[in-house]
Amino acid sequence: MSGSKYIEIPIGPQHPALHEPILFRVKVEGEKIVDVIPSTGYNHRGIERLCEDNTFLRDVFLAGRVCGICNVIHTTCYSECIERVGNIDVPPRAKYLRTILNELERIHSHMLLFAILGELIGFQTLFMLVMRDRESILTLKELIAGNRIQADYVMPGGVRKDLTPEKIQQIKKALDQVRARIKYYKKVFENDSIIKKRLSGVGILDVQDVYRYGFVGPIARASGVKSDVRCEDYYAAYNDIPFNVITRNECDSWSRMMVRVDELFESVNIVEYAVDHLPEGPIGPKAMIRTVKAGEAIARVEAPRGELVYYIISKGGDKPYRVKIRTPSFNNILNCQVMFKDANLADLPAILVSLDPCISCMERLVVVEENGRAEMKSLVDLAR
Amino acid sequence: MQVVDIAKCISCRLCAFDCPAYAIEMTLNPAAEKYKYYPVVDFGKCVFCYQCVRVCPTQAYVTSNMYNLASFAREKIIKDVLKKDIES
Repeated sequence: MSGSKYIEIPIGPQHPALHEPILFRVKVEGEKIVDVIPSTGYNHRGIERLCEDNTFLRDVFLAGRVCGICNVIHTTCYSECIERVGNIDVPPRAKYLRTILNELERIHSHMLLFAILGELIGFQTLFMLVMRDRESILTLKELIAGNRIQADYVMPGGVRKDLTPEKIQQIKKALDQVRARIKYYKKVFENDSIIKKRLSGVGILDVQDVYRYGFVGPIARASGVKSDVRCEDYYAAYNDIPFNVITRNECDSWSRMMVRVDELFESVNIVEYAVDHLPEGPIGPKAMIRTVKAGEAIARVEAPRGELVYYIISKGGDKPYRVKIRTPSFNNILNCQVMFKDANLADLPAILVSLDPCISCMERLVVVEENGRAEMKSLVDLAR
Repeated sequence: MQVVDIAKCISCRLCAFDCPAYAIEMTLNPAAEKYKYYPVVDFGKCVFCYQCVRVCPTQAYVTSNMYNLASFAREKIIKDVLKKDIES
């Protein structure tokens, strides 16, 4: 470290504080963080390129495997995009079923984050309790879709399985229990001294920075920016279902977690409303959609971490010409250095977990041809 | 995992076309009278999306409660219905 007055500490890519492969080069002066440089490129899988080689139907399952936690939301976005390219109508019942699964996924994704938060700030009991309650949501997902995590539920034109009245009763019963537990967790987040001391006033993100760097999802909402794709760009059945967009003005790590806690109540209400008002009718087209006419479209959905965008170009036939995926973590993680300014080094995990990092879905690599030699660089390198 | 009933299979290859993991291979069965090809599922590649079960026009694929795939040899998790019959 000669020549520089700062000490550089590498955190990651394999590190107990972070469960995903990303390297943070942290420059510190004493205990204060001066700068954080995120370095990606450890988990690139080339899914966008793979989508071009496979058919539209195979890409549905590929899209679901971009991110393990939000797989239904990825397949929903991909299917919405295909439906916009091909002008395909979706039956109302299928739209409601998509909404139910999307919201269940938001609930279990946020609960997983609470568990990780408990683990990182040294509150192991919270981890155990949240993981136990998350299990009931996963059981509901298995009841509806057939799988706990990888649902493979949404297809272009509809969904794959139908709901029976007995299953609806089970869903309602389980949601009542989950709502009671979320109320308890809200009390914990508001009153527990460990959580308040570790998260309050840590990782401040101003409204100006949200607009300047384009933060999305609960992170933007916790800084007072009312941005939610479910209201802005209607998809699935969200235009029929009433719900509130939660915003807070504290701008710190604690408010980012509290936005998620309040969103859980909204998600539970949405699922209950959707199962009560489930329309009758078919759940998808009779024939599977294998070819899409030429055209291009953009679809946006609200993933648990923010706005997810798919852009598909079709030149006719059974394969897409281009599939572009823009995940919410991409913006949130690459620009996270503004939150770490003047924070303590020990607060780094507490700030990072409030961003809900999902590294595997944001990983991109760009190949630059130079003098006949292929060079692989991450987007962070190219942006400098 | 899913199980194939090759008595129902009509060798249409839809499952092999649609498999996102390229786990299904249509294999020649010389002893068959009418439909000469039957699917062999490599469960080392399978992602359990059950698209094969869904597209099969004759319901030759059946989902089951079996999940014990662990094996010492990679070849053992390639489920060839005919070979299994010979072994047992």
